[in-house]
Amino acid sequence: MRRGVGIAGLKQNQALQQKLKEQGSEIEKQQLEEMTKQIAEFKNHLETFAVKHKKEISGNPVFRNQFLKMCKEIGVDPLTSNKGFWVDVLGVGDFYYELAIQIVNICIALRKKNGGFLEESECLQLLKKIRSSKAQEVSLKDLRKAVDSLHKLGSDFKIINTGQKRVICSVSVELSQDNLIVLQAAETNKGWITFSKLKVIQPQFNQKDRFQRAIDKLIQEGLAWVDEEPLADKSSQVNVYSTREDDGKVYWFPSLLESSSRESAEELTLLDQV
Amino acid sequence: MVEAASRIDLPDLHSQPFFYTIQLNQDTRERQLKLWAEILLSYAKSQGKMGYSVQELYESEGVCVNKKVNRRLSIEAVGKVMEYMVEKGLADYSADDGTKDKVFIYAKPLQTIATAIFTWADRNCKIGSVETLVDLREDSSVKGEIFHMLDIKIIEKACLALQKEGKAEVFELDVSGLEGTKGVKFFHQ
Repeated sequence: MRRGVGIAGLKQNQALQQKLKEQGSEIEKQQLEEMTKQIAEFKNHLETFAVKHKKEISGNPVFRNQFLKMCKEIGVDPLTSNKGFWVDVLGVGDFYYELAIQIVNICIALRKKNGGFLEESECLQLLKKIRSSKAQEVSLKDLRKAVDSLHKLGSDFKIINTGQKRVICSVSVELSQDNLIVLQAAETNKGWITFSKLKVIQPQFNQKDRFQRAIDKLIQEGLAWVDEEPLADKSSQVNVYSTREDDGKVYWFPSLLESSSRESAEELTLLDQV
Repeated sequence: MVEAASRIDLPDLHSQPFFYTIQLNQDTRERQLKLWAEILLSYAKSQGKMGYSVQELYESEGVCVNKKVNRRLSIEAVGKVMEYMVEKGLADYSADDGTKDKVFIYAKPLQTIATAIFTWADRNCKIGSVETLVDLREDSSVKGEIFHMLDIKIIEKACLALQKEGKAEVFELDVSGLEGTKGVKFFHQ
């Protein structure tokens, strides 16, 4: 027996079609939902992955490239520390922030040792030491930019010139012209100075109390050490001396000395544990 | 004088002339004294003894005397380093007359010695019985212990540290023939 040829049959057929359609769109909707959920989850994982493997991403160019490609296809903003074109132009970006934080850490860790004055190239060396070997290479230019961005924030960090050397200053000392003259003279004199030496280097600096004031300030800021030359016999192999005029006192500036940075490195290892 | 510098770990500053003048700036001085304390501790370790006279330290070549840079710690400066070390519990004055000419430098912390003594007493069933301080350092059963043949005063200080914790009591012996010597009794906690 055949059924469904009549009007009733047609209607029934139509209803069935309708129902199928409804079912279909329902399934589609579910699938879409599932898909969105999956993508969201994937995004999530990708971001965790990015955080977790930040070092490799910013250090290994091949890896970084593949990661960025993947991010682009899925539409994620990669939180990598990249110094790209815009970063260079705008002077912002995670790379420099990261660098700035590392510089601050170094300066603070060594503040007690050097009174807040750290020679630029020494800082760079230490910076290379504490950054992982896989991280992006840092140049002196990068370092200056990072310090500069700190200075813009109104902090005490700045780079000052002492003769040929550039020193990162991380303390809020206002050094007077006299202080700087003494520092500069000490730098040209292998890191130490006496009144009589200074007079030779800077002939206009001929008042003892003016010198003493400048030195006292530098001592107070922890930049200078006094050397009263105990064991002053004549067998000295070190060509450091004071005259009677100097009351037997020589002043030293550890931050200006050629340092073997072993001790600095030791103090920096503490940083890693923080 | 034995050349000791080769065996002890010296900071970079040790080779700087200005390291031998005690600094006036408080932060700088604190840092300097701390480094000197570490140097002397390391020296005491390398020498394997704890009792020193200030004079002896003053003359220690390669430690307080640095011929390479033609500098030395003055006798007053050595005194200041000692003051710092006593204040930090790293050393004690040891002269009987109360002067500051002699010191113990605790190459091992006093607490470590105290703990070692108590552990020894515990292991050798000496808890509850009385030991003379002399026995504590000389008895054949303490051979190999870190307090073997240590200065009797350090032994006493260590025992006094145990007394503070309630683990021992130090007192003068009242036995004929042993008058004036000190003994110690250990307690279970």
